[in-house]
Amino acid sequence: MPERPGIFLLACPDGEALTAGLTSRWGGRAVVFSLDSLPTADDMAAHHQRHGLDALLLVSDTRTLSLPAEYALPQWLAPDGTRLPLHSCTLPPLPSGPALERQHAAHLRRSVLYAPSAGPESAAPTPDQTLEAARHAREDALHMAVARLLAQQPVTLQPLPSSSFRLLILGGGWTGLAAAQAAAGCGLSVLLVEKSDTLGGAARFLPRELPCAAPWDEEIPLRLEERIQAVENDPSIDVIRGVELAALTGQPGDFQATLSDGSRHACGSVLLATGWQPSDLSVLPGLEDCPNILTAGDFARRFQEGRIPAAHIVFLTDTEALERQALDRATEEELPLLQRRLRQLRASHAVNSLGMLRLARAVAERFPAQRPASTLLFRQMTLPGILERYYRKAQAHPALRLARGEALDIAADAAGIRLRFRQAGLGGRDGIREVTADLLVLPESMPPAGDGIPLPVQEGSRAAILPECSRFDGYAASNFICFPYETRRTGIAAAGCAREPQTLASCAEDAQGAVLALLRDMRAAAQGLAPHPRSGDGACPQFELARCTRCNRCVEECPFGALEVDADGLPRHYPARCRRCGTCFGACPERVISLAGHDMRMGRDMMEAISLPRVEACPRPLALVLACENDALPALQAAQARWGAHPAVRIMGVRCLGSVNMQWLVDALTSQYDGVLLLGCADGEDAQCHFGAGSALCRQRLHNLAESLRERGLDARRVRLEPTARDEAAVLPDRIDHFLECLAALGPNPFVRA
Amino acid sequence: MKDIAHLFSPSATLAVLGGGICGLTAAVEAAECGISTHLIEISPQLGGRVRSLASYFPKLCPPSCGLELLTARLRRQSRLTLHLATRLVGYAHAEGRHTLTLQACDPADAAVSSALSTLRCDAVIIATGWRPFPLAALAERGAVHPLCLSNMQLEHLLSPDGPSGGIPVRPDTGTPPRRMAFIQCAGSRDVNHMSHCSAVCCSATLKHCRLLLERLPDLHIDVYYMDLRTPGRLFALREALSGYEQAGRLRFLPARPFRAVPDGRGMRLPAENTQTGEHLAHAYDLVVWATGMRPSLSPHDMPPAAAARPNLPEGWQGPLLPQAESLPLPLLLDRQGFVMEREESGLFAAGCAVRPMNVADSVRSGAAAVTRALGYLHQRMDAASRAGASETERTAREGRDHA
Repeated sequence: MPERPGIFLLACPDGEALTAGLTSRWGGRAVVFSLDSLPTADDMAAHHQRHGLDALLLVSDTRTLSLPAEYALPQWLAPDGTRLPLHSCTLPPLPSGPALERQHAAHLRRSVLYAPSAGPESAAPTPDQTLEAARHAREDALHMAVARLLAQQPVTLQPLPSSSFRLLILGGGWTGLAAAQAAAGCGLSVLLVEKSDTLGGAARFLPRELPCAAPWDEEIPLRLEERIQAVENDPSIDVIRGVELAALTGQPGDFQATLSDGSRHACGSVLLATGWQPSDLSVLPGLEDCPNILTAGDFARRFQEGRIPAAHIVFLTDTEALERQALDRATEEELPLLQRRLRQLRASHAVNSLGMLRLARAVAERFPAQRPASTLLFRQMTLPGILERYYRKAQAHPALRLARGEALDIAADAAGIRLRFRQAGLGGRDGIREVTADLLVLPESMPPAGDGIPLPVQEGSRAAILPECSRFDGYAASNFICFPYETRRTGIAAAGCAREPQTLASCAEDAQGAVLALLRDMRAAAQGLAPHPRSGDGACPQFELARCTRCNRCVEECPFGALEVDADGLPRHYPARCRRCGTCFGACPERVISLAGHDMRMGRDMMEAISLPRVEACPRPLALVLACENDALPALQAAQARWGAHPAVRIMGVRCLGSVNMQWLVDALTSQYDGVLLLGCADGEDAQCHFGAGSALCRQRLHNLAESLRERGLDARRVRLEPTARDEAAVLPDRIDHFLECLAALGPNPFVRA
Repeated sequence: MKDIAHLFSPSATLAVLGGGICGLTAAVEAAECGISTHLIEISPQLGGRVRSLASYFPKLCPPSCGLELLTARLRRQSRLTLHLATRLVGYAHAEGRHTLTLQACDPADAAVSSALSTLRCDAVIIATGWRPFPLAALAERGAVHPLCLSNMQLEHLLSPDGPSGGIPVRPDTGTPPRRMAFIQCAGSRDVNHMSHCSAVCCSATLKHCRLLLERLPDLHIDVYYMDLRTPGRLFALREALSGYEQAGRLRFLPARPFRAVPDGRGMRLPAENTQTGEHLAHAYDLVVWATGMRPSLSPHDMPPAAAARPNLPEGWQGPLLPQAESLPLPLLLDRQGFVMEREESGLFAAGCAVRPMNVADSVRSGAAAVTRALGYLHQRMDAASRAGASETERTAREGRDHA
């Protein structure tokens, strides 16, 4: 806990007044500097030395994005080698002009609602009083930041006692091989586990050419054999064939993997490169028994093995009419699986478009005498991006016929397969055409191998390793567009077709990207630091186990499986799995958990740091806003930068709404606040929360809290949760004012009056 | 092993050119892997092109959310030096290291030049991104008209911070449109302009349709397309619109209107339905041209004098390469200005500088480029330590010989 923090007011026009406020509030505890700009590292060193500073708070008036690297949060490295906690805070400006008018009008409305008996004349605040209240809010933002700084406990890093940087790759297909090479290239050691007896996976059956590099219009050699050789000969890559992962225990940097042959291996992280499995044709009715109808994968294998005779081969990329028939015939039990397969088929359309174009071209090249050797019938080609160049070039191939149309039905008999389709560009009956094929090739639906949750459950852990698989039709995709390797399990990532059906070039790039994410996670684990998104945060939850009642609510609510129940029934923490979201702190009814400052005391100190002199002078109602630091708090700061400090709220940033302990709310409502507004990410289908589902969790807790609030004589409507996205700054002031008006209608909080 | 620091030379330095979503991701992740990293961005702000997007498909989440997390991570990285409002003006290569000459640029006045600084680094990631294909280039198709706008302009209008609060209006009447059209592949998949498909415009249009139809209950939209390309799981974008399709508020027309013709109170789009052969001539209040991506280093954006040949590998026969004056690096560019990576010389390329891609793929591409760069740095470290070891061995042997 800092004894002598240095508070640097940077370019604050009211620096003098703020300094006076700080001195009177915090006495001699802090050294205050009012400066025009950020001090250089040398100046800071001089201040540090002269005053014996032990923590720094940089206070700026406007939101500055680029602190120089020497002021990287959360620590400042002094020249003498000591590390000082470094915090930063942005003060909201005072409202002026239209913003002040708006705030005053809202203030007036609320105060009339709040004290209806006082009569409009005596109760009505003046614009000057609103401005004065905003000034209070601005100063209180500073005091709350100081209280937060002073509540900091020294961070004890929990680096792993022994940590492994070995990467376990599950799957020796194109993705797994690329990942192994990328990781070994960076100097990591790799254990590659392939469940079949051969490496190469589905890539073994592809024509040995593909467009996967500039200039993207011509096929280039696949070089699969070379790649397999390189991996097998690499001294830092161990390959085990014919086995699968049976169990995984431990944590990132210190996993123990048990394979199906019983062998145990230490590794630091796991890459899921399990790819896809061949689909059967049974999803489409009446086609499963016809020997002349194959899926693209099946066809590719036979073609590769030389088992395809010279014949007219029709490739069909779009099977909507057949799918409709299948859906009509499916029984109720069959329907969910069929729908999932059809969704997987949609997701595979790009791979099928490229793959079938390439196969059709390969056929045309192998049998140049046959005209046409192959026909590609498509309703649409999904060859996005630069592969358009390849498509364009393939169109010019003489032995390849491309036809755009919609397949209507298929009939198979001894003479061959007759496919009726409606050709594009011709309307009505004229448009119906028929093509006879010796062999018909249908698209692959590319379901992920394992079809569902592909990893075994961690021993002793409640949740499966990759909970996201259940959400994305079985694919181990990420919920986040900006963070494609973010999963709910630190140190476990997916790449390639296990994540999403994709082309070989895309798989290879995916593998490299996933290797980086895992490398980063392993490094964070080894150093005892948090992984993304709180990377660099060293604070870990501390448990005062003497007071723990073994209710294990923290274990149940941890979104990342970082807590397990030990033999004594107490929570056991795995620091390297932990993302420092604070959900466990929020969950604990006994309040025995803290995160180096994020604890009961910090909340209470921040709530009490406000300097309202007397109840009568307060702008009422007054609300405490608890805002998620990831999205809602920046949105709130943006709103305040535009509209100025809101006079009737005090804002406290929290790690996540999941990290809000309900006791904080009770504390707030039994002290100076009329209500508490919780701002966090939206939950539900498109949840944005990086910490599981903090808002949903908080909502559940609020539900349980309502009863105990009523017992105290408090209306549960004094607490409200509002989902708030990062881009909602424009609507936030209205949202806050609406809540305040609801509070005003409820009347004074009895605890404040008492 | 406590850290992976020994895998790379302690002085290993990486420079990332471009502070868009791709470069920002690459720089932050590289720094978190322990590499000293410099992020160089020509504008005064991070975030690049995604800052001007209303939302990301398929979730319709705000770009500011991811940028916020990335900048928060950036602020916690002492290994990352940020050079905002800085341009690369010179380049030299010696003894396996790159020397970049940087110049701070005044965003208000490009003519003001300030002092130069140099940065020595071992590897460079080029993440210079893309520019929207200009609507002006489609003037012969009638795209330069007050009732025509590009998809990026629409993106701005749909943003909650946009000029009309997220709801587009007809510029002449100030009222929300009742009929709108999207013309896909405007400039893309077109031999006269860009031969490539820009990869994102179909998904972006589906996103736009959803935002517009949600916000304007009286609006009808027609989408003119060649193929609707929604790779991977993005097919769900179209699914989410099926209710509007059934309600007749949204139509997908397989047609390619060549020209937009002003017609009384709106724009008429004569076209032929390529599936049915039917002739179409619908009129609209607003026409959105789904213009695609042109790489920032595109030769179209450079003065002709810039086509000088840089120091290329000996005997290079490639089809390529006007040299980008805006980026004095020995890069290989293809005809469209996409960068071809030169891994062997420590120049890596990522994101839309390489090929058109969406945000998720750009992020992934940035991360993948860092992995390749780390591999390069490790190999060099390995080579250097091998050289060091053989040097020691030689000295020892010489010592023995002397004895």
